[in-house]
Amino acid sequence: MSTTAFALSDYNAALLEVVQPYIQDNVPKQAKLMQVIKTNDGVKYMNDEFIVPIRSNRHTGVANLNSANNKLRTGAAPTTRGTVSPKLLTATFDINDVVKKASANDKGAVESAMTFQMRAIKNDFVKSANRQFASDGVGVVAQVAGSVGAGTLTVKYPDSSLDDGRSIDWYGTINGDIKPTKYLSVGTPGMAIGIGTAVADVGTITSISYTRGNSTGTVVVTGSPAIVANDAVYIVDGDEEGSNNEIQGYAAALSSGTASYAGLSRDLDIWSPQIMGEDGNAALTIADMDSVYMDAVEYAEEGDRYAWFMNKSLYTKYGNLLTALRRTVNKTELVSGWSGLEYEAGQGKVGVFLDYEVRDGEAVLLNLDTWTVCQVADMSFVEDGLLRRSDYITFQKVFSWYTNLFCKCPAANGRLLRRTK
Amino acid sequence: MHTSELDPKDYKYIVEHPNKDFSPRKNNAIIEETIKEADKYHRTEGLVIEEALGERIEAVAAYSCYRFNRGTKSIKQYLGDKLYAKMVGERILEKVRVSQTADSFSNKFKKPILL
Repeated sequence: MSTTAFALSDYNAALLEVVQPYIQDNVPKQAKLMQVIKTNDGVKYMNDEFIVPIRSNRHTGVANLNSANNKLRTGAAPTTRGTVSPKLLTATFDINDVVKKASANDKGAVESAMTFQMRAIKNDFVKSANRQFASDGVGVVAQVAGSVGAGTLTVKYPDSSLDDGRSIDWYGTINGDIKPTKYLSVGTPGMAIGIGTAVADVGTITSISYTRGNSTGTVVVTGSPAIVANDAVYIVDGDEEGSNNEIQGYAAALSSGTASYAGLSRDLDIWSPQIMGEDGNAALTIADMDSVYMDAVEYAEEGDRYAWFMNKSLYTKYGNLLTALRRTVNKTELVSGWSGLEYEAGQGKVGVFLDYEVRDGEAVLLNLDTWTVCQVADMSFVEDGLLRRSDYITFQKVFSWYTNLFCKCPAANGRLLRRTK
Repeated sequence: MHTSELDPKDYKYIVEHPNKDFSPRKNNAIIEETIKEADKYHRTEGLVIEEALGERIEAVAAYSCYRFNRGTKSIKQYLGDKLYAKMVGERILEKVRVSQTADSFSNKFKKPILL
């Protein structure tokens, strides 16, 4: 039997709240492919489009004469152009004057609300850009597993049943490296998502639940959007539009499909990436990695830099494979601070690196010299000052980047799909 | 992972007589170390955005808070001459870089001189 002594709970009205003196940032870590490409001096200016002239085939005037009197075969080296347009990445928050003033010094809050929001917005903005560098530009962030009732849906990691046929090379959860709700978030106001091909319906997220290890998570949205199994889920803008407007990352350039990339047909030899593993799940092997690598290197130029990127399960598996083969594991660095493991078959210094944005069950081989970040201008706040919204005591800050990614030779890159740990 | 768990495709890569430095324990330690280092790298926010840009964002945020606390100094007075000049200089350099890249782009892809 418990005593009736005066307890903490009896005095809680008078107790001061003890708050951790900083705001814990619990958003998952993200990989920074952009940093690597920028370090590689691959950033170019663009305006309404970014055009790259490409030599598409061998010179047709190269032929041996059968005899000294034979006619010469004249020819030319054919060229063509690839083009991408800028994608408009933005991050916005509104803050009202009361919150701003109330939290502007350490008497009122542990951190200024505006400083926290500005810091968070630039971090999450870059994380979004990194996700998009790994994506195909269609913008799918999850797939509906089913409807649980009005306004409630279960979501899963996208698989081959995804209803948006523009987004391919999805095979569902393979190693469980990316949870199905990873790219969805709750807030005030909540994230708005489009559901169904080309954002057929829209809802605003009010809650997300996910139990570690499960293949699905549950999302509750406002309104009563139509929810059908296999609907694609996208992040939408203020006008509730959001399909096919993301950066065309390596999943677009290195797609296993036949759709054109950057306006050029995949029939072009240099436009077809080295893909392996679409037929079924299989264990990661060094032999398959070597096969993709050797095929890609054939299209590379002298001195091109290569790197493999894998998510956590396959990265660990690669290290364990080397140990099982009785090979000594050596450390290497991609850029200062981002370390990985040496890839022995590589010509020159090639490494295998951990990247949390690589799709589940994939090993991606990038020729870093074939990629260019094209941008209208550097990422920045749209204006340096704070603008008050007319008729409100509310201010708005907008962070933006008008950019896209371009691969000048997909054939010099590759992907190993459906690899298990 | 044991050698017996390897896919037969990888048998050809087995080293029959590993060199004397080979140690599974040491291998695991290196793998763990690289994972930790990669984690640390991914957590470090400043690496992604240009450091100068990050610094300008922090400065603008701090100055905005100051103004909303009824501070009256101009941004130049608030930051001090040296820091203010540095930030303005970085901004100009950024514009020069973009314009130089644009020039090189229109001039047959010559590599720009990096400032």
